[in-house]
Amino acid sequence: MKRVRDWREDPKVKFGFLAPAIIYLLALLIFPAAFNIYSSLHRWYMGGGEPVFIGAANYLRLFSDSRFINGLSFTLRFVVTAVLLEIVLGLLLALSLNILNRGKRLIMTFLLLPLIMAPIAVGYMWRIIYHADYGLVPAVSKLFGIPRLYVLSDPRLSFWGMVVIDVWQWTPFVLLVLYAALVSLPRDPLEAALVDGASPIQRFRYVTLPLLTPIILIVLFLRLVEAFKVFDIIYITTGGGALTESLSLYIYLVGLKQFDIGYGGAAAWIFFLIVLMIVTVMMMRLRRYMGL
Amino acid sequence: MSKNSGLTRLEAVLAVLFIIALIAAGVGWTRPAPAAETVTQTVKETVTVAGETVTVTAAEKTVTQTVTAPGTTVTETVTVGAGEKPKITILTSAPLSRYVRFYEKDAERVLGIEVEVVEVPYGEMFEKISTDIITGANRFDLFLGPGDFIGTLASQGWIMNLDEFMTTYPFLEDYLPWIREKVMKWAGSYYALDFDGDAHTIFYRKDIWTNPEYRQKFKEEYGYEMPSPPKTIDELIDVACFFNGWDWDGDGEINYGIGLSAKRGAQSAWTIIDFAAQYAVKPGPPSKYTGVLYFDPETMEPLVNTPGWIEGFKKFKEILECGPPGITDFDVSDVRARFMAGELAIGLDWTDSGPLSIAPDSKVKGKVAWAKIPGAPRYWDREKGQWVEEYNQIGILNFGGWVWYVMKSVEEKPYKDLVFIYLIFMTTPDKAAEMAVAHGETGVNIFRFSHLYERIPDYWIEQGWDPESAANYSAVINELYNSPYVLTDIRIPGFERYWDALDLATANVATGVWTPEQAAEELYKAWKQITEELGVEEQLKWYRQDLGLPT
Repeated sequence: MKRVRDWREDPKVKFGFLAPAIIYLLALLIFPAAFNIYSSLHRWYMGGGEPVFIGAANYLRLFSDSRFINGLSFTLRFVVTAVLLEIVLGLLLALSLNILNRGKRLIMTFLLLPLIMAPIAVGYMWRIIYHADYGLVPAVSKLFGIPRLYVLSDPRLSFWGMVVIDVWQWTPFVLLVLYAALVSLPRDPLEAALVDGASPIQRFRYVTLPLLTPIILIVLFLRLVEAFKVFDIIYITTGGGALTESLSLYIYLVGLKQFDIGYGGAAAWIFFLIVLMIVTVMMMRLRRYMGL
Repeated sequence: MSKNSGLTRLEAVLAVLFIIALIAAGVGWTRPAPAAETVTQTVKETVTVAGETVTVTAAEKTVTQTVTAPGTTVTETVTVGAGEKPKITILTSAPLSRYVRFYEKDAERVLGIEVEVVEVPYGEMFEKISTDIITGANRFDLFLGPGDFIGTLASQGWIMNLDEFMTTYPFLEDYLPWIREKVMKWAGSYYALDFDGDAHTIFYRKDIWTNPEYRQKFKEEYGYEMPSPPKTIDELIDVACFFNGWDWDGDGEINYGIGLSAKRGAQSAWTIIDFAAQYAVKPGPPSKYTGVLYFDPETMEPLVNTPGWIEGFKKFKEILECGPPGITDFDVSDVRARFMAGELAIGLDWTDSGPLSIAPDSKVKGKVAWAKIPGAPRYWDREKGQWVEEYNQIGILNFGGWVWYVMKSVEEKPYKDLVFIYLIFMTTPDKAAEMAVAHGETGVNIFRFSHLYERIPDYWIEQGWDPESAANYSAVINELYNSPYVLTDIRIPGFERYWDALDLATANVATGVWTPEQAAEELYKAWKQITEELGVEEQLKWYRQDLGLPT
């Protein structure tokens, strides 16, 4: 008797189902990545003739490029400062909201507003707030009798100016996730600690925080990845002036404004590897912590 | 939808609409192309401006344009295939896109063509045009863009040489001399058709300048008569500082000295060359030691670390102390808005300031005087390695202007001649006059003799100018474009990279990140590296070609 072959076992059908995913990966991930590697190994200036193979010269040049090093330094300082502040503030706000009995919805709505704003709009809004003459910040500083603060053009303040914008926009995200986690924590351990006479600080330190840690790590991971890409707010507010040129902005300027495709590609790869390294370490810790 | 399905009726409708939108987007659902249209009527249009007559006739299958300019008569006839309606595709950016769109329907009606205007943000123009060429798409026939691009576009063979076209172009002699000889030419040939004159001037409040009390006060403070206009950078700094930080117009608000672009990523690079050139350039035609600002034309060695440039950076830093708070974050829009609002005594900017000063919301109408960028009391002579104590005033065509480029691919297109007819149609003197004289927001500044006040005084007065201001503004521009020598921006491949490094150095001096000496050294290193990467020999060849030196 002839066995009827299940169509699902047909390799062509299997490949047919896999094809969209493979095409997607090839077109949007593998090809651009391979092309970027190719361009990074060439001296290729759009409008400057054919690409010329130069091996690793673009990569070696990065180590002596003060703008790349400054951009990396700014980005690392920015990421550490902003994300740390966002996690701490987000956690404090989430805890505060959790113990509130009334007005939670209203407060939450206001707190979440920055999150839904487009980064470009946020940039323009803060550009006005920081504006040297009619901005809110210089006006308030004058009101308190301290010298006017020129956040966008004073290199001593500009870094903190960028951090404040990022913290303002992204703390609500941390708050949202941590608050959701807080309200869904199991009640039993907390009640047990209460019965055992633990103080609020002890309950937070020994019960709430350990239970929240996996969520905090996930939020930390998401924020780190996002913060490394900081571009919009800097582009709009300072344009990279006053020592605020982030690595993303520098790569954009090199690749898409100066059309140095090869060098921009090399810078993008190194940046990607740095972020990948940090994220991998984070993921490993996360997995270990969660017992995966 | 039933409740069991989990979707409300509204959600279901929205979902269906969303799916339809997705499908439409996916398959490129667009309005069906209109059927080929034949022009069946003869249209005649006559425009007369400043004694020049343009007659354009369009008839079925034949487009004829007759242009009569003073001393010149040109008739162009192009036969278009039956039923064809050629489409000319133009790449440009704001604010000049307004001008193209303004005449779009006229051009379509009169010339029997279709005009497609592709507008992209200013910063994306080069990327867009180069991608179009490199990928072989050749979608664009014309590119209305910055004059700065001419070196890159011409050296790569991306645009057409217009020498032949210029032999019949009726309004060539009407261009102000340096527009015609510098902005429109590269390596001795025409590659661009200009539609804007761009250069910096200073402009200042003549009403407060003439105040006897202020003049006396200035003399007491600085020991000399208030200069009108300031002849040197030092005098400019003095008057800017004198008028900085007090209410000199009696409106109860603090006023300030000067406004100029100093912000990173804006126009500060064009500002710093105004200062550096006066100290770093020995006057004369381009040669190893004269008439060059950026590189040694024999070695391609950057000149930005010479004492002249360092002095320029120092003076730039010094004058920023005489401006409003936060001047280091100023771009052109801040300078223009503040000056026209009556807050500043002096502005340093492009000549858009002229028509902006007579705009309805201007508070300085009839109160402004213009002057060329002041010179320096001395300049650095690289040949002798010493300062020469002589007055030096160097004219610069900052940015150059907006120009029309004809893309190389047009040579192969069947409607090539129509493209040139369209260019003539779009660059008749009348089309620019109104914008240049009365509409600062268009970005078009006067660039033709026929725009000058002395040629069409009544027209200027009609637009809202007073005779004294108009005569002064027009004369300053005329004088600049008739100077014995002028400088341009860097017009060789890699322009964007050199300019970005200059912009960074300038902004870093402004914000105190670098000292003038550090900025000069960092800029020197950056430019040297860019040149080496792009090839010293190659860059030298292009640089010499741009300067009109033998290669």
